[in-house]
Amino acid sequence: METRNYETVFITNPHAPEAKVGEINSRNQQIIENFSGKVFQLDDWGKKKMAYAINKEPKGHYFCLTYKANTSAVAEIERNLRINEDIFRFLTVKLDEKVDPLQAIEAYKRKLEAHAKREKERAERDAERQADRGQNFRPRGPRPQEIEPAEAPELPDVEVPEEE
Amino acid sequence: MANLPKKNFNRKKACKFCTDKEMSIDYKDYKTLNLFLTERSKIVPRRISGNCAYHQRALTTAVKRARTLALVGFVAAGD
Repeated sequence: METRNYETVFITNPHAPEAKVGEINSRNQQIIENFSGKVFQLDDWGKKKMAYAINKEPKGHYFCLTYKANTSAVAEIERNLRINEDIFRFLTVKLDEKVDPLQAIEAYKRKLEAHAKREKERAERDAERQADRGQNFRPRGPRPQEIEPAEAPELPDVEVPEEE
Repeated sequence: MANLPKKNFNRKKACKFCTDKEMSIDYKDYKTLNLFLTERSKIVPRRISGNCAYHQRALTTAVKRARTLALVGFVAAGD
């Protein structure tokens, strides 16, 4: 059977005991192996604040599983995630076939590093400004959308006829 | 009044994803997606962001995926 590269992101209850979370992950791995697939990576994003509360819970524990398997393996994983009460959400995405999944993972990590670096630089800049301004300091909010100034319209050379 | 010069409002904007090859669209990368959302978490239209049709379409699916995973909100956070 044809295998493809997939990626499943799922959110577990942050209060679930570690043993239960470990069980979910080992089970996923076993399912993939049973269907003669291959796990590339299990990425633990940690407990993050979600954009909106799910099941009245503001935080969630994110996992991202990248693997190569056939469709029945994906169906089996999704079935298991659906049964489990500690899973808030899950999303399976078929990965781009032109891109090597390992390279995609690398690229994603590099991007995260770039974001972290930018945020660190901003924090440093803020600290510097705070030292400069003391009490007058207000932390900078998000950068406003860049608005390019409209180009100054060229004034046409109009000859003004002299009035007699 | 008739001789006022016309102001050029329709300046061509460049698609950020086309000009910057390092930038790519990924639903997991919500920090980049946030650049193309309003404060109320609406997707910024193409005529304002200047994205090309191809990337705007990719961005839309990425935002919608991120919304189901609570990486990006459907409406503004109530705080």
